[in-house]
Amino acid sequence: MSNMNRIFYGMVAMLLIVFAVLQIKERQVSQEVPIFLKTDEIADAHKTKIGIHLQSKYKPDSFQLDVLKSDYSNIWAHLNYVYETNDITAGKEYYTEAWMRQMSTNYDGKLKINAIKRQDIKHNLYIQNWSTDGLVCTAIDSNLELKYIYSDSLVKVTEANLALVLLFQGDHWRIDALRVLNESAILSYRNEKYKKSLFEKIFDIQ
Amino acid sequence: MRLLGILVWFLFFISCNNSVEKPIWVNECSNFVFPKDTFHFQSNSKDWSAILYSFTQPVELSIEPERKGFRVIVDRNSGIVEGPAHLCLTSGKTNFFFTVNLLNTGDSLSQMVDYRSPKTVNPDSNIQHQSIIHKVDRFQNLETVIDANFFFEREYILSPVVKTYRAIEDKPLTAYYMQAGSCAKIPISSSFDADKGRFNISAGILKDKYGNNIADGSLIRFIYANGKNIYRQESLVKNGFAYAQIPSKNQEIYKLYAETNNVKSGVIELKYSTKETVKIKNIIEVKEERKKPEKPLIKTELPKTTSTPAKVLSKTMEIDE
Repeated sequence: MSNMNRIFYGMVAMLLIVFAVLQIKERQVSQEVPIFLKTDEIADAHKTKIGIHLQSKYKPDSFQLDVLKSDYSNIWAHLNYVYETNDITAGKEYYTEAWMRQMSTNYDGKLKINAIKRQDIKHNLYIQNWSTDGLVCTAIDSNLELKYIYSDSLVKVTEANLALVLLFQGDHWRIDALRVLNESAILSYRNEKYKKSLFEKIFDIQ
Repeated sequence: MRLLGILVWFLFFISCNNSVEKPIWVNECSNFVFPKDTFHFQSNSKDWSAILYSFTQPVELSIEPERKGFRVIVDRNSGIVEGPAHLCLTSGKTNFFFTVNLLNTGDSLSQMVDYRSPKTVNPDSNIQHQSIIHKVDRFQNLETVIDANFFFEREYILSPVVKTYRAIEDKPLTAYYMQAGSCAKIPISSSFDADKGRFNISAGILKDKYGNNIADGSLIRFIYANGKNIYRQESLVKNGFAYAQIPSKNQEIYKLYAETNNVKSGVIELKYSTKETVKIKNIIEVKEERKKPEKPLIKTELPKTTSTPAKVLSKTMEIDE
């Protein structure tokens, strides 16, 4: 076989391989993973302290309480994330339809500026009502401690009281309604460490 | 060289002092009615952007220049989760924060929400119903229901009549269902069809302890014996009745009863007759109910039974009268 023939057959083989690879790539349809296979990184990375106190006529059992505690933590992970970014879709598993609808009315896409970051430090959840079928929970989150970190290095810790309604829908407790009863600052300080690092970043000091 | 040095220092000084002054909130107030109100600010700087951080989510606002500054408006017709909020004004890389309390316009119609549980009530166990009531506006802000309470719970003793009810009449989602209980007693009757040579057995009207017809599809077993063998037929209830047909062989006499779950009827005797259609015997259990039967007991169209195995359960069996 002459060299020309070898080159010719080699090129044809290469073209076929390239064609096959392109075809395979084209056929790969991006499929959204079902929710039970998804990893909720926002919720997983979130940590807070939740104390639950039962004041309801009907009491949940320990298993139901564990689920509530875990889901309430996840709800706050997403509430804080939305507060920072306005990305309302990330936590849609933890919002009821009505809650999602009201959030959508003020949604114009994700924020480009992240000026305030919020963290929830401590919750005291007083369960007021628990439905006999375990699908409705009303509660007061008393002396809830929130930490606001402003972009100008100010850090403010507040204490708030909330009334809220949670509904169990589709394997999750979801937030349905809320009322902020009050919120007051209990601590406010400049995060000098943050300011220093910002200063170093701006002036490129090693 | 000295002049150049001075010029460089001068330029550096200007660049360092290029800071943005905090704008003055002219119409400062504690409450901001969303989306009706407007923030007015006095400032020499330009290129402002504004974000209103409500308790739950940030909302981008619009800036309109004014003679001595600018105003911040909400260019949407919506509402918000009421409560403490921050207004963040940004110019370049500088942010300024102002605190404000958000309120909705007040025209967001609030509505009562009445959660009932259980959604399906079985009168066999309990006809007590739990109701958890709260009130929300269109933007899911909780409002007080009674005095300063946001939640209210009460319990009802429901009417045990089978029906789909609504906690709030115009809201289908508040519906709950009272289902029929299990059968309280089984009145049975029989007739002999001489043409076809068979007994027509009818069980009904089958009712729960509150007088509701038991659920369609409930299983009724007809057990009958001729002294040698015991047979079983199964039938499904429809409109409170279940039927069975038993062929009469060699003019045999059968003793029959019907049962469902733990409830048994009395025993009737099935006797061969030469008359065309003869009603042989009725069980007296619910006599008054037979005055106005929902379906005629004689010459009625018989539904197909689920299975007619006529299976021999045991060779001998004593039947109680």
